[in-house]
Amino acid sequence: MAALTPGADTALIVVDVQNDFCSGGALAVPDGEAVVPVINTLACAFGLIVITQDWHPAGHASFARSHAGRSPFETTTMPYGPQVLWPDHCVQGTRGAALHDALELPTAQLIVRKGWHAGVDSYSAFVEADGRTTTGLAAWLRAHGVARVAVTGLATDFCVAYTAQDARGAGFETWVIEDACRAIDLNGSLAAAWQAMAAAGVHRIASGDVARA
Amino acid sequence: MSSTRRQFVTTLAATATAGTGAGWIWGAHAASHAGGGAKIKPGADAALIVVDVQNCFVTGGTLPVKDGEQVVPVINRIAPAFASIVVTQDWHTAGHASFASAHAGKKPFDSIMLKYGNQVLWPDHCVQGTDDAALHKDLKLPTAQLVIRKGYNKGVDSYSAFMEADGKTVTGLAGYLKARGIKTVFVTGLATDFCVSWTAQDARKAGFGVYVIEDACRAIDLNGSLAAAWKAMEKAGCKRIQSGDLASA
Repeated sequence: MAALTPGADTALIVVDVQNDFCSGGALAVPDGEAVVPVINTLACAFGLIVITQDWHPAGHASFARSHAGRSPFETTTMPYGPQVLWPDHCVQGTRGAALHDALELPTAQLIVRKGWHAGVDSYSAFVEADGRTTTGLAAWLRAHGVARVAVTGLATDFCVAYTAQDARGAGFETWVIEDACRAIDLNGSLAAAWQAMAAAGVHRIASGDVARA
Repeated sequence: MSSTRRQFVTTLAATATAGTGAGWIWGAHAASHAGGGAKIKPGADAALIVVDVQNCFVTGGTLPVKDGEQVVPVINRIAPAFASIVVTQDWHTAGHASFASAHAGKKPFDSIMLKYGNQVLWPDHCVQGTDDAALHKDLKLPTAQLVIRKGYNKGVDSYSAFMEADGKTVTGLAGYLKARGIKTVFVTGLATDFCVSWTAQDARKAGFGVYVIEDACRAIDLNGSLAAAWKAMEKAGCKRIQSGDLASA
């Protein structure tokens, strides 16, 4: 049932297809760059396209190096809850934070950045990890009359999953296009993410299920 | 500023009402800061809007604004004073309705009547994804949270970062800013008399307090358009200030 025919009320969200999440990057997702051609091809089916960028200040709270004695991929507790600690990545204005060179989305209308508060992470393109602070994306989408979103990008089990669930929370019908995403899969995080997305009512489809313009 | 004028605006400052809405007196509030020695300090509810500092609008571009590139160091210098920064890009399809080349027998800088009203016709400029449409390479705004594009609907121009030229289609910027708790915007960029002016006026219409930072803008000035723009911005309640009026971060 899950096939998607994008209309004027449908936006493509391209999550964090940045150098640091691709091969050679500071927090490389296995095969991360494989999403690029899939997303480039999908783009022509969507009239509205939003690109997100993970966009941290140096010394961000989500970096293991900001916590004495901690290593990347450990978990710590922040005032807002558990936080996986990452290698330094996607620092504002650096080459690692730039979009992948081969991503060709000339018609994209918006680039929204997240994770720029020094003390709060934001996997989600909608709401920061404190569960309260909005990025402003939902308001932009509503102003454009968007009711449905298709989510793609990196990584399936973190930024894509949180974005998709928060899209549901904001009232958007939501599809995740599985082959336009790649995962980190840390301690079973990928299976857990799909389970959480399903529970939130997110549709899981393949790029071939999207009707082309 | 002459000492006489300084004294005058300092006097005005005593009676100027801070905040948005009817209490905004053109120039008085902003000048009061400069004249009184106190600088304007953008708060957590303020955003810097950097309008269209793109290759097309600087020397060597397809629609160069005289001295357009001179806004770059000014904007870079004031940016650290702002917690929130939005960057706009003029972002046209090929064959866009605002291009003279899209209308038989028309030349750049002619005007034409389109469905939504009068439209100045421009050389082809800021075509989506081209180097001409890219931000100026020396613009350094690493903390900017949003890049928003406008003018991407083929049949409608959008000088304003808030509202397309049809007067109906929003860009989503007002919704974004309000969701983030922004109440005041400081507008900079290119060109003073077109995209900056329309953006500033529409920001007022959307309920924001508005400052336009004059030396962080440059104008095209086509048939008196610059003087007309300042008059329209004044009438809309936008405040005209200089970058030196801002407290540094």
